[in-house]
Amino acid sequence: MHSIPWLTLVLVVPLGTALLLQLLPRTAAGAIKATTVAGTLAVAGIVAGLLIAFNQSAASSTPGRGLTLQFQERHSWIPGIGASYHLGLDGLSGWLLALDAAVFLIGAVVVSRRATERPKFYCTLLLLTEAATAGVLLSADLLLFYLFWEAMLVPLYFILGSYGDANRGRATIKFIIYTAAGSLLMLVAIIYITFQAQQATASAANPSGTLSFDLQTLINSPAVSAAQDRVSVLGFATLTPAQWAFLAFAAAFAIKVPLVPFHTWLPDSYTSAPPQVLTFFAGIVSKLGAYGFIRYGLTLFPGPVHHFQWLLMSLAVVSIVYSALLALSQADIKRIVAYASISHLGFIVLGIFALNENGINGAIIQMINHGIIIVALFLVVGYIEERTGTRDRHELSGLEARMPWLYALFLVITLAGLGMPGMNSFVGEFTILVGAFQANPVFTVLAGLGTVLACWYMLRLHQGLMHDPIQGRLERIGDLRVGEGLTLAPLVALMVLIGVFPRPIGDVARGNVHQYATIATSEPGASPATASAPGP
Amino acid sequence: MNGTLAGVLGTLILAFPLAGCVLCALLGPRYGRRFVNWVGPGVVGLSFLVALIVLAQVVGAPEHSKSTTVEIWNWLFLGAGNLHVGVDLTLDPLSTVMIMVICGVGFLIHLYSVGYMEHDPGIARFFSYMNLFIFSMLLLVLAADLVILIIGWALVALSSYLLIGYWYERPSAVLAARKAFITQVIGDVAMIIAAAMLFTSLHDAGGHRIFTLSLPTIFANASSSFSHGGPLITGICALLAIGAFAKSAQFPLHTWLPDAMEGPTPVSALIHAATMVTAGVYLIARFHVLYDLAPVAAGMVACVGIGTAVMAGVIALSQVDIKRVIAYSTMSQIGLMIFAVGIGAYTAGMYHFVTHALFKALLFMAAGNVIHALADEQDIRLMGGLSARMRQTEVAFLAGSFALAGIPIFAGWFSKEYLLGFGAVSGPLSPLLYLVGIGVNVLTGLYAFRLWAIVFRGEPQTARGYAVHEAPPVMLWPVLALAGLSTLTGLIIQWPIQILGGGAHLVSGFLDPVFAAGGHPAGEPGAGVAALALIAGTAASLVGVGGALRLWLWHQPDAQAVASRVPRSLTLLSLHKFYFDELYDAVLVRPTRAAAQTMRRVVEPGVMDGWVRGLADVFAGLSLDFRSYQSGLIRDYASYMIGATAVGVVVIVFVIAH
Repeated sequence: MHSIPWLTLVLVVPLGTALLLQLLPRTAAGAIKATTVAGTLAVAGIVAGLLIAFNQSAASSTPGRGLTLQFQERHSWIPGIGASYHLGLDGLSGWLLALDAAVFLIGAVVVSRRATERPKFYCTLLLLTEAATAGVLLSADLLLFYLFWEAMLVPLYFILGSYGDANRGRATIKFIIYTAAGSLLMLVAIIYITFQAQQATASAANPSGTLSFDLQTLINSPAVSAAQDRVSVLGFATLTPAQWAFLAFAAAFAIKVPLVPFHTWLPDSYTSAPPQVLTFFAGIVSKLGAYGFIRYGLTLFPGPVHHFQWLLMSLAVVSIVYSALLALSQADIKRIVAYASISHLGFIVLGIFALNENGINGAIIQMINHGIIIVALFLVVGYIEERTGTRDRHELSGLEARMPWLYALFLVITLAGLGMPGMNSFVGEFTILVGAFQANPVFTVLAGLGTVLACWYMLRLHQGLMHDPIQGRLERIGDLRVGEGLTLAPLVALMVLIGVFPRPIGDVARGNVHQYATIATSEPGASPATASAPGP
Repeated sequence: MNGTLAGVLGTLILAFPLAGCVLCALLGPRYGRRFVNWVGPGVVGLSFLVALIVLAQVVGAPEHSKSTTVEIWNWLFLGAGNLHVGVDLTLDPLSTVMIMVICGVGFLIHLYSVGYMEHDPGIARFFSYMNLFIFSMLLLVLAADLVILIIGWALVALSSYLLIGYWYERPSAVLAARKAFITQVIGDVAMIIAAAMLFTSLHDAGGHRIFTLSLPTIFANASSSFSHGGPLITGICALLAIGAFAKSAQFPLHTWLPDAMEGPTPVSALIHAATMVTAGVYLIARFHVLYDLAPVAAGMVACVGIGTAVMAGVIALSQVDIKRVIAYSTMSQIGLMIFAVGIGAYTAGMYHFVTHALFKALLFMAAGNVIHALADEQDIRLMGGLSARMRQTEVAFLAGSFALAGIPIFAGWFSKEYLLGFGAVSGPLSPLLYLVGIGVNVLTGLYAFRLWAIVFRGEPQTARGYAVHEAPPVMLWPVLALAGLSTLTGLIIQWPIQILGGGAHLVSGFLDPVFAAGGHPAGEPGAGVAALALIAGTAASLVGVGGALRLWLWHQPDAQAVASRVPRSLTLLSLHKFYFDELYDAVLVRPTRAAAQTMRRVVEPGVMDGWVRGLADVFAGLSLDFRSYQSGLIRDYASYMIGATAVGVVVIVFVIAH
């Protein structure tokens, strides 16, 4: 294993495939699409291998306050400022990387089966997005992470701006400016905390200290939370520097997730984007915000995280209930799914900021589930729009009679979407609710309300499209084609499979989750003995 | 029973209907009606055979080892100190009684469906859903972990939803299905929160936290985790009860059940009468250890049960849809069972569950024969005079009505009077509760025989009524079998000698040990009280039946004069189902919709998007202002330079000077 840099390969394969595409003529659509599918398939294969080779007990056998990464690669990158090319995989990023590889594979397969304008341009952008998102998940160095985090926006900008409906221009600019604003705040905070950490390492021999962007180094630097003097704004002593820095990170992640009230870019850009883009745009990008909360929020800011626990939990609950109400009042079926997506993401953030292992494990399970469910929902909506030419639920009804296979698959997807026990989303939601209850019963009960609303809006969507007498002009539409059915079927199978055998997810994730919870509940410099999680 | 055997039997019982569900769904459309007609009922029959083996094993097991729990697979493990869930199954007398009824009655109803649905094109889908229901219900009663129980609990609601909305072209069926499902989800959420509360509060006698929700573990550690009557255990029990009320159609979560009659009649018989709606009774009986610790919650359960029994009985008196009358009768009878488990008479509640499953399935299927014969007519005002042409169905229907009303020697008589006998000794409120129970008996006699008299007697009210035919054998035989069971079960279980002696009978001998663990709070009524209760209860039932016959069969003027003195307001309440639908619509549904619309129209564009646009406008405005300075004229730039230099000089001078 040591000889082959597998994690780098995960980045290089999509980039290399993108380069390869440039050698193909613009008109060879078939070859371009086949190459893209092959590239994403290769990534998926490598990631599957990584998950199988993942040592499930590595994290639990490592004592102390730290984050155990596997398959690590570390090379000097910009030695002058201590930035390194440091990649590593843990139980959290492992599963998200699997989701990443899966949604881009689906995205490539979907695009390969339909006529696309400028396929070379599209496929190149798709592969570049895959490389950037994988980079976000793999990097263990703050500067490298930030680089990938921003790099992701470039191909997304071109994809969203070039493919999509008439509103795509406005929607894209909104998305890009919104997320870029959050990212800039995060960049300021990154610079601040690394310089703080540098000062803390200063000694007689090394008066200026050592500058490092390495996550594992920064986790155990007491400097970030050491400065207790409150920053004064307009004469008011407000928050400590660490708290400000956390809020800057949180802004970037909350926009990306998104949490209400930072969410308004999402319905616009999801509605304007075509289904083949949404497979990966909705499938992975929002989860990166949640990933950031765990990977960087909990680890770098244990104190502020507790200080703002109530804030993030209440934003999560507001997201759940508010978006559920909006999903309930939309007529455009794509917007219904978009708001449903925000509501579900609220559950993930609720689990993370329960700040205990049940909550975080639940959040990880739910991130995977959310990716699977939301991709399937957008595909279904796309299939229906393609056939009927409308997304207005008032113009759609009784499709079950004409599309029994779509009905059956959509039924399972709907049930997963409303958190049906026995389906994958129940595993995550239940675990999240148990974790959240340990942290705050009131928020948990309110989130439970969201579940009832979820049932309402999902059934309203499903029954509205599938049941009641069919409208005359829909009489002639056809059921799913085999290829479409085979695209949905693996997602539907996963929904059931994870609902029945959820254990593997927890087995891979729980070692590192224990570390995350431990780091989040102890200050740097505390002895390992006091850093252990509560429990027997 | 040893663990391996229990595991194999439990898995087999579950596997047959699940396989049936998948086979009917995937292969049904291809292989057609004959295939699903064999597979659908067949798999339930196979499960019933396995259930018989389970019964023999449990009966034959020695007294101390009647309960076996076995883990099939490890569902979720999140590390030491965190959630740990196993797919555990439990075989004990309580679950055995449940699976016997589910598979036995379920099998007869599946057979009946072959005839009832013979003209329906979606038969594969129908049997697939029906088998899914059997699987879910079996999972619910066999589960030995609260999380798995919740999964079965919700899957039951799902199959009910699918079957209520089976005729999906009917808007009323679609709405009814959604209403039922959302009500169930309210119950599910209550149970999930109860599970979270249990998870955070369980600890063993040594004070160590417990990180599983396995039922035997919960029960074993209940007394060390909770103080008797404490707020925590009361809250948990109240939340579990909300789940039970949603499933068992008890006030205030009862409004979905009458609407659920939109489903095909076999569905009403199986799901909305015999099995699913009794899951709430099962749940409280299963969690009796907790309820024994929470007398306030248990008392609430009992009051809700008896209240629902009265309310539903009153509503049943004025409904005109044959299935809705029986549906309200179901709600009323389940109210009695919920009352029983609430006062701690768990065995009595379960006994009434068994007999009720038999006679209520019978009543629905007999009603189904009538509906089928009249080409889907359900309004009893358009029936009448069917007895001449549907003699066998009428006999069966009468057997069911006798059992329902509680006429001596019929099954319902034994179980209901046994149940009400406990009401007489259930504590401080017992005289009152018992009197209400007697009142329910009168109501039951009234509505049961009103239905029979209007549907089967008198003259046919439509031309079609003269041309009806008796149901085909495949629909008649299951009905007659249930008629026989409804007549004889009580006699078999309870020899007359035991009634007089008031001693243990087969059901209580079998079930009482299960409930002994928590210390049976309801004392057995003594022989004297039992005999008195029996006589009073029976008399009340006969009064009700007599009143019904005088009013609706013989149309006696003096009886009608008495009936006409019933206050108009009460009649209206009954007719409009106490206005609960209207109330919920006004208090819950409309405000939620209005809130959703406000969010969409006002808050989202105004506030949520507003602050972003406001921020954008500020920057856009600034850039506009600055852009005007960028004129491209040398003299402008020169004047800016001079101005800026002047300002700089002034600032520097002042800063240095001071």
